[in-house]
Amino acid sequence: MENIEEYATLKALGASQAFVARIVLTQALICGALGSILGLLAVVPSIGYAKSLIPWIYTPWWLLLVMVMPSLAMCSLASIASVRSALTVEPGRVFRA
Amino acid sequence: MPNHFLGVEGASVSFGKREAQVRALRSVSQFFERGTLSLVMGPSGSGKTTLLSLLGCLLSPDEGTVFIEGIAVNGLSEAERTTVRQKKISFVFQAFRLFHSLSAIDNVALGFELRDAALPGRMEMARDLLVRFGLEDKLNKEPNELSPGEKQRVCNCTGFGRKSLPFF
Repeated sequence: MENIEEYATLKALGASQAFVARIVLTQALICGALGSILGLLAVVPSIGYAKSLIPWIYTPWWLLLVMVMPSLAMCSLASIASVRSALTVEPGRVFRA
Repeated sequence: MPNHFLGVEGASVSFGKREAQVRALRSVSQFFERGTLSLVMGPSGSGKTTLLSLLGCLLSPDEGTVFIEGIAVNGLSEAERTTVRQKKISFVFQAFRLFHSLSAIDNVALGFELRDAALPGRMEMARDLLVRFGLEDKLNKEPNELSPGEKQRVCNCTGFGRKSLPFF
């Protein structure tokens, strides 16, 4: 929440609570999506290696998508504290240097 | 009294609790008429910022009433006060308060978007304003690439672009 002052400015300029919450949540989801992509980039090559060691391993393509969902959900949950801080910040802070 | 364009009547504001309580304003009444330029002057700690925060609908008084365009706003809900700030008030901040991850043109366009999310041509309007303020070569610069004077002009564009009074 290093950007808390910017959320105060947004609220001072008339941003609704929903607008502010949407920004924080979007940032969390983008981070979650980028993290998932990096994770998949690491996991996918290792599947081939694992299969060479243990031939009966079965990894359907949809399993990769299913792995992404919990990460996005966890990022959304983790952003709740940030959303609360952004929503409760006093817009009156903008006049303090 | 409610016909006044902007003002406070009998406004008192305190910060802190019990022994640490500081009274920033004590029963202040002051009105400002439309079309006038007013300066609020006083020593440090005299309550100038608190008065501006009341008039900007950023703070509610402990006692008294705040009028904006003749309407008492301190009885409004937080969502209604947000709408008042969105539609009726413009700010130019002393500390600029630009969004550091946005370019100059995006900062100005965001002001338009917050005023009216459905407003067409926001980027063109932002570009026109910045050009009028002599910032045509700084449109895509982020705040940390601008001088303090240029930041001030971007901030002015954000405020003027909202075309609303009162203007703080």
